[in-house]
Amino acid sequence: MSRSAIYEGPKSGHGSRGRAPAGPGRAYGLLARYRRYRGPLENLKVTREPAKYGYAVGRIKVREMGLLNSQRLGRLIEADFDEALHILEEADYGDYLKGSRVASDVDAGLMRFLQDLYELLREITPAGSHIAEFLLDRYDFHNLKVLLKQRCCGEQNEGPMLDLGTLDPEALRVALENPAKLPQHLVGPVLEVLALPEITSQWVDTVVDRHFFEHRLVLAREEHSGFMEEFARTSLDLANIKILLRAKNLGKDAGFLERALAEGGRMGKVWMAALVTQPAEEMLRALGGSRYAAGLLQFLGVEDEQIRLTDYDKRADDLMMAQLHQARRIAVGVEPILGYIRGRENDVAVLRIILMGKLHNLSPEAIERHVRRLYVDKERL
Amino acid sequence: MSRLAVNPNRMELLKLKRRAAVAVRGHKLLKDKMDELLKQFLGLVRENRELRAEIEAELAEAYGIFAMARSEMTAQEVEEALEYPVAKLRLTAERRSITGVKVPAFRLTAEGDFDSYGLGLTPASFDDAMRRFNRLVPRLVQLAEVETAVMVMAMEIEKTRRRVNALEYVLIPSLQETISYITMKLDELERFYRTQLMKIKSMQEASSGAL
Repeated sequence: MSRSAIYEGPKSGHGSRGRAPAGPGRAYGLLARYRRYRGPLENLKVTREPAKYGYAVGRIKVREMGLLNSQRLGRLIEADFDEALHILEEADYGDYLKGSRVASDVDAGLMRFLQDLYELLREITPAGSHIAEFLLDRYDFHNLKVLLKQRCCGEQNEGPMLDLGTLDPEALRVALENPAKLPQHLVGPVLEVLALPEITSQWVDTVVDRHFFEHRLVLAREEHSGFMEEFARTSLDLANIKILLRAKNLGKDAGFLERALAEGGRMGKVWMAALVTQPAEEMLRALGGSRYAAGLLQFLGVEDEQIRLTDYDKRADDLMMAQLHQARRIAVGVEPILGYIRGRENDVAVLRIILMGKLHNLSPEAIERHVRRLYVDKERL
Repeated sequence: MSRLAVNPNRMELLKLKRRAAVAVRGHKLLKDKMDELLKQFLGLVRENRELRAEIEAELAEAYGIFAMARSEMTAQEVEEALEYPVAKLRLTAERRSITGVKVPAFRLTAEGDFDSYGLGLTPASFDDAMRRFNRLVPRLVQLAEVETAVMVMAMEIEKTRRRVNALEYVLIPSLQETISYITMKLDELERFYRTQLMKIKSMQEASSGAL
């Protein structure tokens, strides 16, 4: 799948299909067409035509050996910065990080790694698959946020754009001048942002992020993969919970949450938005009835009317990784590709945490507290 | 100690005595001022030391949290999230007086929330780091105020000390030396005139006796 300047819809082996506008109504319609998720193992093989991913899976299975493992991770955590770079030379990341001295070097090295990884993804993605778009469109939404903020603040500079998505950032900038030229899934957030009575940086992020999660769910459904759908819905749920808990801590009202929470999750948006008016303990108790109580919410506490969220991201990421780890049990399909790419992205996040921690002189124990579960780490599952 | 180059006469002596009295009084006043400045200065230094230690510890903690939160995102994502803050800070500088020394008094007014980013894709620890930074801003301004006051006071103390020393070791001794020199000179003149008068008188008496 090659990257287009302007989105033209996924290329299908069965001819190009047009795309209906993304939105909750369509999402629920699609939902009815596919099986609901009933457990981690039941939906493992629902990809339509798994054989078309055979070549891609073959390519990535070879590369899985280069993923970080717990043994290497332990050595990295204990090592100092230079030693850590030396250890990484044994893995696939060494060439990208060689000679790094400061945080920006680490960032640039890891960014180069991601560029190569996504290049591989584009190369191996079969026609008609949404997997590349599913994994990369967060960068398009990121660029859209940058451009919308610049437009609202009357600025026109390069900005912190990321050239990793499915759309060329400059083409997106040009297309934003005329929203009709934008890809269908980006029209909604742009029009919603421009219609806001007061456009602030936070509202831009809030609206665009919500559209991102909803769009990803739609893409997962279009891929006909229960596993991907499960992944998209879990990440949407975890983001919704995070937004709710943070909104409570920051004193936001239900109106904010109605705009911020994404549709299509397992928990009702209206129900969640109403929780913000309740005391923190009550809110946690209400959320405790969800499927995320055991691995995530039970670890949260309340201190001075503030919900302690220190470990939330780590636990949420670990939960996602535990779910993703099931993909390794599937021989052929879109799932191992999703697992591998997310595994690599997780490695990049872990490396950034370790190396930044080392650069900021944080203790190994402090770094270890933030390090995420690895994709190939069986022991920690 | 150098003596002043003045004519040794009663007029100068009177002037110098007046100047010496003023210098002694000025010296005493300046010394009192310096003592008071030192007292205030030491209080400010203590306050500054405590405040700085507290702020440095809090900043280290906030930066630690921010460093970890920042490492969970790419540099571009962090920049995107924080590029356009909503919160506005207004800092006005006024002046207050500590024992006659004008030091700055900063007044900070803040409007708008510190959270100018989306809550879905940024790490939750971002809030904690931002809240800590937000709480630290008024304290940093307070620290700046105290540190500037310490600097201004130190300069004022130095200036006062130079004046006190100049009075104590230069002006007053030279005035006193000049006064004693003139006094001595005048006494000598008086003795000379007295002797001269006595001599003339004795000569007159001798000549009248001879007649």
